[in-house]
Amino acid sequence: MANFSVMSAALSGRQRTTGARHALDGLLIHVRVVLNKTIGRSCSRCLQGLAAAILVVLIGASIAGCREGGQNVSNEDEIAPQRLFMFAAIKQRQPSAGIEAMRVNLGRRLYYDQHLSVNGTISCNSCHQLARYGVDPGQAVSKGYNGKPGGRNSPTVYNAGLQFVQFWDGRAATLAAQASGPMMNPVEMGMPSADHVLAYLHSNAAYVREFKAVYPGIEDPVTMDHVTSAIAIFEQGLVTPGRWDAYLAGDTGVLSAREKQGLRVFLDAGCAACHAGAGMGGNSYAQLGAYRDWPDQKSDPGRYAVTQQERDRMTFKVPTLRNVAETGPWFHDGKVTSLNEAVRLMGEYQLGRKFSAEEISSIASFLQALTGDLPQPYIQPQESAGVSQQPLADKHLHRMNGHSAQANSQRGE
Amino acid sequence: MRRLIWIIAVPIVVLLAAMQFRRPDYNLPPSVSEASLDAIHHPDPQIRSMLDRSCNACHSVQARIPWYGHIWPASELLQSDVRRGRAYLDFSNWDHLSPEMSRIRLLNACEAMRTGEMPLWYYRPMHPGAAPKSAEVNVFCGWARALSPGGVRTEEGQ
Repeated sequence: MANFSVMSAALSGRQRTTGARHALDGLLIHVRVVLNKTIGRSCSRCLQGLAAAILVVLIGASIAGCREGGQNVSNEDEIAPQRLFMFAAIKQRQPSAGIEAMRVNLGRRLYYDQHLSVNGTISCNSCHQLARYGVDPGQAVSKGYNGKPGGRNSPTVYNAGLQFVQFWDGRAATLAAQASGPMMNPVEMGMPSADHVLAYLHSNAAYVREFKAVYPGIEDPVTMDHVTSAIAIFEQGLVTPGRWDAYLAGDTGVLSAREKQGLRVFLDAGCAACHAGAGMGGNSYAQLGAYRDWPDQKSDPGRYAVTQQERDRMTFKVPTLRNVAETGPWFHDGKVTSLNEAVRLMGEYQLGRKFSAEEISSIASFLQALTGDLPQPYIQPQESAGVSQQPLADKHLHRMNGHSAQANSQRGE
Repeated sequence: MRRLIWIIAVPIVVLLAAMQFRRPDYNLPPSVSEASLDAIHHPDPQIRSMLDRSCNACHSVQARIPWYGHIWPASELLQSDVRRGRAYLDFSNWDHLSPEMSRIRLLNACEAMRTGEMPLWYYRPMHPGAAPKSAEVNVFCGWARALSPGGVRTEEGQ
């Protein structure tokens, strides 16, 4: 046995190929002999052909299998720029001026205003914390105004303006369309209707003055369209360029050798088939479990709930990978708490690859490099002169709640 | 010797027979015609013909599964290729892509064909004539590059 091992180890690649061919020939001969004796010569030729085909397929599969796992991670060269054509750098937005800046300020104020929730306890920022990369850190799903959990993980609001649709299932086409959703969602901010939101804003003289200044020439500019538009304008400025963008711009020294290794594995494995573009995602839908059925097929059908089309079952918007290291837990249900585990699952269920521990680690290193810089001055809450932070009188709200029960989607994000 | 042959052959045959109960799942939901690349970008007939001949077997829900695609172990490899193929590129559900991603996928497809990475090497012998001619690849790549960064129709994918 020891001699056999030594001999095997000594075989060159070519010798191994020849040996394998001889073994295959020998096996085919044996099969032919057995089949001749058992079921006759003519039929045996058919079956022999089938057996040969099966063996060829097996060999092909084994080669494909070899290709999948345990790749060595090389760090020899810089990555050719042409391999990066599917990515795009982003830049920090120039500060706006004039009426545009006023709209940004109004949107920011609305974003931070807890009184846009029915009991004055949560704001947009409660579940999409701007100081924490736009998510509810550590929470699989966020809790609404009454402490009840939502249906999906709160996605980051940073770089949402780069995405082609909003929400995990893409049911809002724009940021403005998205902005009204949580306010009236019964498990999120819980406002029974748009009228309740507008009643609060109308009750606040400073808000009314500000809306009139920002949307001049309109008798009553305090409308839901203007509320969501102002929030969307503010959110458009929530971008986080960072080292990745400098790298794409040609400064190859900003990524470490380890991060470049990870990028190489990321590209070789095909992650960029979905995580590409300026947002590194957020620009397509994909079936979760495209290669292998995702273990949980029942809790959330994804976009199917919106379209009722079978092709959309378990389909979700591909999330952005910008700041992904800071936006855990991951996936639509927030059930994955380790970035390495998220990478492993993506390899297995999306790409049909069993990543080695080394590959997972290197990809995770690359993903760390996608963390950008928070636009600190831009996200600081600013008090408007005269804007009261008092909630709409509880009595008034209770009276309004009594006759309006909104049948909103409770799925949330 | 005969005994040895039986010892080897019988378990193999039994294993092959048993594995036939493992049915492949190609995950091919019904298509929606207006969602396809053809419906959205209207490539010319030459490109459509090439895509149908060279790509759609793995990169669309119109995948044509051959008879051996239902027999293990061939079914295992085919299932793997069809599911992986659609995960990377699915011409049937083009409305799942933003204009930005649409262009990226087309340019990736161009590069994969130009370098000979696609169709897969073991697909070609089983499908003579499937490999696109270089002239066809050039036409496809020219068409893909000509699409504006936002795609042909900017409302696509919304």
